[in-house]
Amino acid sequence: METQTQYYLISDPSPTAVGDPCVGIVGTKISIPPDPANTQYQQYLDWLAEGNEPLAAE
Amino acid sequence: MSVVINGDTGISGVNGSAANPAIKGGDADTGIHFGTDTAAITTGGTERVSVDSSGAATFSGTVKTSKVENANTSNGGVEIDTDGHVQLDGQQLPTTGPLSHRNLFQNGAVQINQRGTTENANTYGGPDRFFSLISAAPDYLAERSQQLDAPESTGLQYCYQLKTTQARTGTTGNQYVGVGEFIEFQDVYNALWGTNTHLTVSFWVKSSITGTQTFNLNPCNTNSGLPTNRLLYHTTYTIDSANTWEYKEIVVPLAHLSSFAPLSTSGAAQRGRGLEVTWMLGVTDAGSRDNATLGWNATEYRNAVSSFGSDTGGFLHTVGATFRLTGIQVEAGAKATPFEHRTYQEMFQLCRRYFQRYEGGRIGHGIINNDTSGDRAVILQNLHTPMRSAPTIENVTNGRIVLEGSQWYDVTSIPTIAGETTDYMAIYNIVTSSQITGATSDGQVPTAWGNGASVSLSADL
Repeated sequence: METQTQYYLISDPSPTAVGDPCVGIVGTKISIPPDPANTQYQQYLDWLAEGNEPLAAE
Repeated sequence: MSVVINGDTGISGVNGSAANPAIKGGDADTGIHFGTDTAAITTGGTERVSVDSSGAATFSGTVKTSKVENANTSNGGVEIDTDGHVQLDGQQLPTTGPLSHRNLFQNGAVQINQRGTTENANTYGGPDRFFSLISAAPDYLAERSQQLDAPESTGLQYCYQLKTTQARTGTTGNQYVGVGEFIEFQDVYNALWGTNTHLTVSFWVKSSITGTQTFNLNPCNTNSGLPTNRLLYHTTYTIDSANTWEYKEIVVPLAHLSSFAPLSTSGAAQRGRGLEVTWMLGVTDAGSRDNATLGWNATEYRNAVSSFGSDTGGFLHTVGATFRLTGIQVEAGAKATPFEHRTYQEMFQLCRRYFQRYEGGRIGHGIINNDTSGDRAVILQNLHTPMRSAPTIENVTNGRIVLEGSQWYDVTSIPTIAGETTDYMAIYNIVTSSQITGATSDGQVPTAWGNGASVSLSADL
């Protein structure tokens, strides 16, 4: 079986943080900033556009 | 003056002039004339070629020749081919563009290897800037690494290697393996949409599997008007001998591409994928990746020749199969010029635009928040050099944070990148095991992150 990527939202511990939340990939140490030029964030946006939903921030 | 015709010394007696040569045919102002220790050829009354007393020859018009050599040698010199392209002392000159910094392919000599040997299905692993395309679940594995092996007498030392370590056993169609590099759009715009008529790719290859192999170019940011703007240049080359370095050149005509404009010129697109250079090593049947014809195609971005479409052979199915590349150069023009060697430091800095790794005693500084229970910190890190985009944390080791003069505290959750990260500064969220003494709601406490921590940042394409 091909492993399907599952993203999760990362809560920012600082209430003064600016910008959209970062996302992580379940089962990895990867965390991705919300930069539209970041290739992995682009892949996340494509994944969202396919109707997928990230897991909520813990 | 009288003209003397002598059977031993020839014709003598008249010097003539450019307008009235001493020796001529039916045309009165075309022929040969003479002076003291000089001779000249004229046409139409104009001197075209002359040889003076020192032996120097002067040409007043275009010199048409295919080669110029020293009088005492039979090699080197200047050689001009039938297209007018020039070699100097055996070195090909560019047909267009500058004389230096011609190579658009980064880490073509495989000097930089920050990630080290990798065996997983990730796009990036092994030497910097090289991606691997591995879609052959559930079991195919390939190791990507830097090897101390290169063709002799080239000045190259290292190569990139992809090695099959676990063969594919499934029968799913449209699976594949390949290697390559993405180049930023802003770095290839001139080569692809300037006035250049060709792009030339040259490389050394050494493979355990011989025969016809596949090479693809995909100008990623092209408004081709085709589904998902697909556009692919598909060609093949032949590996003649197993485990032997062979030099290959691929000349790609750009006339077809020039009929399409770039898809986007936004800031993100400028820093986005502009050209995908791919060596496809295996594609299985029953998909859309084994149907391209040679030349420009409106098909999948990555295609392989049908000989690799087998479900039994090739890199996908041969444990221990190796594919090595080095001396890779992608340049504007219709001729491959000598490989452009770069210093380690120069290439290292270029690669750091896409990947950086930090480890050591203290890798960033920041504060312990005062809004929670004193167990969280925000760490700032100035990057070695600005990256292509705000970077992803690709890998991280927790490490510890410190209360200066007191003690180090274990970081208990995987550190994450923060949304405020930019291309020149990474910001991390750190969570520790317990409240840090002295970090209370009535004040923020400076801290540092390190003591076993490491982080790998990627802004690769």
